[in-house]
Amino acid sequence: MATLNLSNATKSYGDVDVIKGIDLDIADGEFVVFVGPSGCGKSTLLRMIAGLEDITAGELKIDGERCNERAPKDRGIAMVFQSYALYPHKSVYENMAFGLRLAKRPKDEIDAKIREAAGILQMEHLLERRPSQLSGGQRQRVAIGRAIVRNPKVFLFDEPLSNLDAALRVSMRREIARLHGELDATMIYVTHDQVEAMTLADRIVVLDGGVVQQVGRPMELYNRPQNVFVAGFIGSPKMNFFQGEITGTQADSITVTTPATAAVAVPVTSNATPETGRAVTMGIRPEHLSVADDGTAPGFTGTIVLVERLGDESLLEIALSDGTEVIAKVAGGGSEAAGDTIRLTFDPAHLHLFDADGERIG
Amino acid sequence: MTGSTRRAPFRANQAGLSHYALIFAIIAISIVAAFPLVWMVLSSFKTPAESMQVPPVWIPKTPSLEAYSEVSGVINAGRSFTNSAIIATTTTLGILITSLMAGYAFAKYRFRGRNLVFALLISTMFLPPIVTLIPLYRMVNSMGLNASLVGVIVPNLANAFGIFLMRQFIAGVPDDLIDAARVDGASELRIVFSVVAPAVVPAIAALALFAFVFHWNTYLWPLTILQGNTDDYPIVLSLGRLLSYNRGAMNTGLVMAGATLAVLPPLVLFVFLQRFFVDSIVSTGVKG
Ligand SMILES: Nc1ncnc2c1ncn2[C@@H]1O[C@H](COP(=O)(O)OP(=O)(O)OP(=O)(O)O)[C@@H](O)[C@H]1O
Ligand SMILES: [Mg+2]
Repeated sequence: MATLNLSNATKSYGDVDVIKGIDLDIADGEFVVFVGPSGCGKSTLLRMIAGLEDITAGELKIDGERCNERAPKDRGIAMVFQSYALYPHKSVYENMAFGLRLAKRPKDEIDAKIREAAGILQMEHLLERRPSQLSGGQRQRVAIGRAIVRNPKVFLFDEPLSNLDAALRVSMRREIARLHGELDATMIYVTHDQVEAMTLADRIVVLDGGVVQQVGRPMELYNRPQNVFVAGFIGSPKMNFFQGEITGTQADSITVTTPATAAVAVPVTSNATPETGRAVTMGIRPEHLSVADDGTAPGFTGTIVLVERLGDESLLEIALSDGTEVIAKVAGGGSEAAGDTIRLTFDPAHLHLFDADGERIG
Repeated sequence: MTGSTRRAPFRANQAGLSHYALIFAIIAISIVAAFPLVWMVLSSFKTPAESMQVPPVWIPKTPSLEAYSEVSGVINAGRSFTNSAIIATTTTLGILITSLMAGYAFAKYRFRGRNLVFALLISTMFLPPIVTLIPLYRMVNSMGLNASLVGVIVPNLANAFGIFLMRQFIAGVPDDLIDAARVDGASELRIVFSVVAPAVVPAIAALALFAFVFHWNTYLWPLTILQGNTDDYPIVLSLGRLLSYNRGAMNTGLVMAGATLAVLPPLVLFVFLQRFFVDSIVSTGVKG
């Protein structure tokens, strides 16, 4: 258990800056998830924390102590890799024992720790096997067991579940959540899977281009994305965006007009003072669009291009008259069919408004 | 080159004419290749008269071990075998260790000039050994190691081919495995020998065999550097003395007996090591 602080952490390969000055404070026992598109630097940042990658500039502190120069083994971390990275020629038992033996721990202590970890992960019966004799889920369990026996201050996971099939991913995800509760340890978890991020995280760090886009609780990110990037990244299917301009301002709302929608009064809570005429991006999530019946709520009309029925809900892809494509998530199997004209409405309270730079204004 | 390739089992019904032609060719080549070896072994059991007979006698009528007992009378066979064993074993071990370490560095470290250094190293593979014989002799001589086993061994403790082979195989070892070992607290040396080496066992077995056979049979370099110090002669050099000890008389049986003894150790090693490359036991712990 420990705190972890990054200040202005930077990583460059030659002239290429991959991590561009990241500040982050992680509390003791917190579960923090790094998400972002491929190549945004999630793994690099995690490996900088692990000590597998030099920190070009800035500082890393674990439990208040500077760790930039420390070897991975001296940082009090343990890491679980996407590829499991089990030693192929060693038994499960020896895989877990390797680090402890190197640290010259007494034999009975090593044995006790391995039995305990195996108990937590329900894999006592696997201890004598080789990695090649295990299923993917079992291998990942061993990899987690190898991390547990190190008794680390901070657990680091780099996409640990992405090699597993969907069902196993769900059960291992729950297991990791349970483990976090049981071990009460600080955990940092890299993933590109939103569901993992939303369900596991105390806080999510959204990265893009080596820069932190937003840090916050999962529902904070969902409800109040700080910028267009986060708005588009968190949530599935993606948020719909409309380009428009401000056509009026009131005390607690801004009137926005887009080619697709008539003038809509968007409630604003921030103290931004937008002027009329400025370009804005308006966003609405697919699940906040509904098939209209009364005709009074704001909305728009379009032609259904594609219907994807998922059972409990359906995804409608709709083309608007100006060419904009919109996705709506509606309940049930629905009677909608491709080619139908449909009117969709929304509650202005669900709208997100971003300025020309992509920053949130309401 | 990875351990995961599986050969499709041979199926008789797929075998067309070309298949039989192939098998015939393999058998023919094997006979040609094995002929001298078989001739050598058979001759070693012949009496001196039989080995001189025209037309040649194939199978000795009264197989005798006489030639074998005579070998020790002419050369100190025990000493020569020990010398060969020392030279071949130490050199092989040295090559394995240096090749693993350098191969690891070339495969997994990123440093300035890596490719240039590697290219230079590889280029030495194309130098005919004869070209370096004299300079090497002078260097070892000036180090005071001439006429000794140490002098035979030292210049061969590392070689470009071994490093090249190891680099190729180690490049296939997943980086995550190495990083996992680093997190576990393994030193770089420990990683080379406890994590990387077990993952490239087939390559190590192959290199060990090549190196052992080559340095067991090496002739020119020991002859040059030992400067007639026959006490330190490996068996291959001593065989030469068998041939010439009794000028005028042909000692075919004697030489064949000595040669038969000399090929035994590499043969035994081959039988022992071949299972490592026939079925490579490495299974990857990384999902693949
Ligand atoms: N050795 C290197 N030299 C130069 N650039 C590198 C090097 N290693 C990584 N990069 C770059 O750093 C960036 C971040 O890589 P990183 O592996 O951290 O991405 P990631 O967010 O983990 O992506 P993914 O989701 O695909 O795993 C990438 O654009 C990559 O091309
Ligand atoms: Mg990654």
